[in-house]
Amino acid sequence: MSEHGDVHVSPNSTYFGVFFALCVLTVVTAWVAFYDFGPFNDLVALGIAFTKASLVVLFFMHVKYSGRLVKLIVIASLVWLGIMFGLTIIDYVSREAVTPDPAVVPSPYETFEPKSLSGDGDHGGDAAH
Amino acid sequence: MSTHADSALAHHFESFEQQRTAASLGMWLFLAQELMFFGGLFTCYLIYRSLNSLDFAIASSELDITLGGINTAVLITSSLTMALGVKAAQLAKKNQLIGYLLATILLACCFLVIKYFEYAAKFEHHTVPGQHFEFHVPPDLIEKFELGPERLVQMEKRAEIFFSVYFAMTGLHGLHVLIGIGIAIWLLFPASRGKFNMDYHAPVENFGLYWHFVDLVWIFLFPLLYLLGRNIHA
Repeated sequence: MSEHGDVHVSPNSTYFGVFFALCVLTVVTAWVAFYDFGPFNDLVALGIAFTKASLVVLFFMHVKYSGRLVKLIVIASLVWLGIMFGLTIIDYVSREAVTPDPAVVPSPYETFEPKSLSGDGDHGGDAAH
Repeated sequence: MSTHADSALAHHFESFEQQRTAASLGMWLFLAQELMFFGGLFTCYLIYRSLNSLDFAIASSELDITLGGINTAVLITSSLTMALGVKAAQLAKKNQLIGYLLATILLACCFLVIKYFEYAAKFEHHTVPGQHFEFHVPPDLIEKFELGPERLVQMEKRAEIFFSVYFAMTGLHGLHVLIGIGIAIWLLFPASRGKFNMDYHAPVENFGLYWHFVDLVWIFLFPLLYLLGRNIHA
């Protein structure tokens, strides 16, 4: 059997157990969403989503029984995702502090029309008022 | 080790174990880029929601939580049938594998049919972004948050952003479900010829990984799009 050392065959009870947990968590997350916990609503919903995701990744996708290389890819992809979220959000939250003049960098949620290309008219001749 | 001409072991691999590890590694790398692919849309959601949280909450409560919840259950069940299908492939249980693949296909179709009804309702209520977009804030919420006429105009524009994000994310996810159905149908052919066993089951296993990934995306889409903001009615 050493030839199949990389193949993990889970008992059906594992799969049904995970399935049951996923169903319960789905009901719980939908139910608590209707109660107001202020900012904790987001935390609870995301916490439950992460728990469900971990169950799927570890047991349905067999990562719990996979080699180090697969575990490394899973963790690395989450780190990269974190970099994308983190750096983008840092840009948005710091934008107004760095350039307070809304004429230079318009607040992304105040304007929906594309900015006029004529600009301040420094160079263009016929783009006058 | 079999050196048969029609062996499932490709000639450039030393052993089945090496072949399986290589296939699995490739699939995981593909899923890592899929995560970044969806991640771009999740970033978009994150930014716009953090900038317009009340607008997003109000627009989000227009979504049908019952249909969204049923679809979550349908997709979780299809993940279960797929996990059991991979096990059937490992144990070379041909008929079980065909049954689980068919169940997965059926549930995936079920998901898309429910999605169709959700989308159709949005076309009917003009909440599809574009020329005919309309969004009416429920009167009780106008009163509760003391929304003036100017704020309501602004809110309609921001609701349009929410629905753009909604259609982009669920649309890309739906496309993945559709592609999944195609791959599962394609897998039925080798499955019915009894191709899969403990040595060789990478196609089924990798499709299983893909399918669980599609489920994972929905596990996050459901709370983010349907649930966050329900508490404004509380």
